[in-house]
Amino acid sequence: MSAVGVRSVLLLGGTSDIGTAICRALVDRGATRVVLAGRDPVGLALRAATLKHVNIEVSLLDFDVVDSSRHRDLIDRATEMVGDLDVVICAVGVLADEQGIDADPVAIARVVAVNMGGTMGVMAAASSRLQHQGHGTLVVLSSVAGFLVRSDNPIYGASKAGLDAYACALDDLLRPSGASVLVVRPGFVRTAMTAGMADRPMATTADAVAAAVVKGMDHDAHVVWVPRPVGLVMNGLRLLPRSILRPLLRRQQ
Amino acid sequence: MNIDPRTEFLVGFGGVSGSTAVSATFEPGTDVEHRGRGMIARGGGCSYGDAAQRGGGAVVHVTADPSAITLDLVSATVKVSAGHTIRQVCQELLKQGWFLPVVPGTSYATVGGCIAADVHGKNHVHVGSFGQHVVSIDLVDGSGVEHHFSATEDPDAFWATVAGMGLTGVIVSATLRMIADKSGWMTETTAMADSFAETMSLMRELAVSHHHVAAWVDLRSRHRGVGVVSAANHIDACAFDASRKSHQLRSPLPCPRTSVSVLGPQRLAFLNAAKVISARRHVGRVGTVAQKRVPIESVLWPLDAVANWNRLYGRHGFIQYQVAIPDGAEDVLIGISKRLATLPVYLCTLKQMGQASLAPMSFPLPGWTIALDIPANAPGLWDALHCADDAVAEVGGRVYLAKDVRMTAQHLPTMYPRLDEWRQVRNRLDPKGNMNSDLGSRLGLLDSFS
Repeated sequence: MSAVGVRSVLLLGGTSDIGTAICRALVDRGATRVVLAGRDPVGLALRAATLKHVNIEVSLLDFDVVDSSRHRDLIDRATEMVGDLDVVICAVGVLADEQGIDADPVAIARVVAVNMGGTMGVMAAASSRLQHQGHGTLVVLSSVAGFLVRSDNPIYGASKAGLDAYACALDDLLRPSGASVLVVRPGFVRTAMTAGMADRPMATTADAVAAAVVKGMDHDAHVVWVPRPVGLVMNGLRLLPRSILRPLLRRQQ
Repeated sequence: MNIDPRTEFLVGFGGVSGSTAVSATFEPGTDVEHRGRGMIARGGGCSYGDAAQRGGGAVVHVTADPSAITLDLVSATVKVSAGHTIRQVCQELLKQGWFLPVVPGTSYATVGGCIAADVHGKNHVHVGSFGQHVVSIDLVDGSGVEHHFSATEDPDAFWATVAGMGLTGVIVSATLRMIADKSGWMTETTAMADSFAETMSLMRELAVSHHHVAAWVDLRSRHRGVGVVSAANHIDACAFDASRKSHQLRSPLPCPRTSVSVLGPQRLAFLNAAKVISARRHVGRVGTVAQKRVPIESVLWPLDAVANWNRLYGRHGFIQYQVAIPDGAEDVLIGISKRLATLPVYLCTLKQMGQASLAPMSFPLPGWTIALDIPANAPGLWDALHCADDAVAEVGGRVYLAKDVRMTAQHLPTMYPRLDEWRQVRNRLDPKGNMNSDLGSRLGLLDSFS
């Protein structure tokens, strides 16, 4: 669906910088009803304030991605609030405390539960709604880190790799119904999540990601890379033989 | 990609906001599968917005056999199927020296669609809307029950179906009034004015002696504000040279599918300037008029000369923003056009409207209607249109639902004050809420008023 026809948006991970930037971009393109779903009511209220505008309704929902039993209920409640969901943005994610081989197993399990397990559950719940509607886009924030998993962030990278793979397959399942999945693979984005980290090559901003998402929706794309050259580089790297590729990925540390 | 063979992606004429539905065939008395999302009839797909689609639900395609048009010369009426296009009906009528009293701006709309949207023509100020010339309607309501309505048999249901946006049921056939038209030609008078206000007064003047009056106003080029008014009359049989063959409708030129818009801002300005200059060449100075004899379709359906011209706007599509403004609020109309002129508006047309019909949800009201075609990806478009909605609602005007793809439910009760009355009749015809469209769910048209 082109971004032009979007009227209602559900943002899962309502305090996400990239997620709210996408909401703002969609509001600029005519969306009038936004639901922010997240754990932190104060954070959500602050985000809502940045979106509030004449003629824009912003509602808040309590949502914890690891509480999988409530995911269906969440989608139902969002639907009650705004009617058909034109866009569902899945912007849930945490960084891992990457300590190589010494990583804490509990921490690993937690990152995977948030970035992959829980997120997949809520994506499935949203997809069944979109399929029922016969239209709508599920925007999934994956990462370059999930395309080629480097040794400096294996936990985060692997969790995003799983998510990315699921999202791509979900797209195949949804397309026949008229709904679709848009997988977003940004490079390094300067946001609250990455605050304090040193910039990596081709670092970008949340607004740039949002603009790329809107453009991707207009073109009915399956995947968007931000910035675009990252896609070329990553796809190029993936063609290299393992003996050349792996040392290259290590060197990026 | 494997698409479910029974589902299809449908989008309005503006190419914005499509959805996928099961395409259903419809036989009266049987339950149509609608997956709990409702169903809606779709005719020519000429509605600019999301009126004839239902994402996740069922869409009934209404088509008709072109030969099944029966004229009753005694009562001057014609019985047609809902799926007949205005073009098919008019072609048949012209052969026998008749025409329809009201036709919409495109001949590819179906009779069912014209009733459901209560469309108007360029002669609204004289004869009213399409629904005012419908003698009777045969409808299968949301529960599968067949009905026959007219202005005397169950008038409430008749007027709820007229302008009911298809939400009372599926229109099967209708009987329409005809007017005599032996020639198929018209005399067209073209005149120009320098500003919006002058265009309006020129239209008022020309409406006294002309049946069809519409104006095109340039909001784009350096000639900004120039209006070209076209006024036309049917040529009656006596004035027409009987030795000439009466005119038959021509088939349109094809238009290729383009993914990018070929109507960029500069090209729009150029096209607008070209139109002003060609009108000048034809008319001469402002204040003079030019007359010529033209085929009926070039006056009534100028855009039909190119099939699928909507494709020129590319994959983003476009919005047609059409509003009605009551008499006395002309300054609001001018204000809106000025405000929206900051956007890349190519087509801005203006028509005068007369008496409203009895249908509670009918769009026309005594005053003016303006329609603006704007590419859907124009920056700032949505905000500008929301502000325009506020201004329109405030003076008692309304947005045309058949063109709408973006309005919010907030203004609906103000713009359509008889909404509640219509809902009651609609609920009687479709108590289970089996009928619904994307438009209906977006604006909450089915909701009972609380």
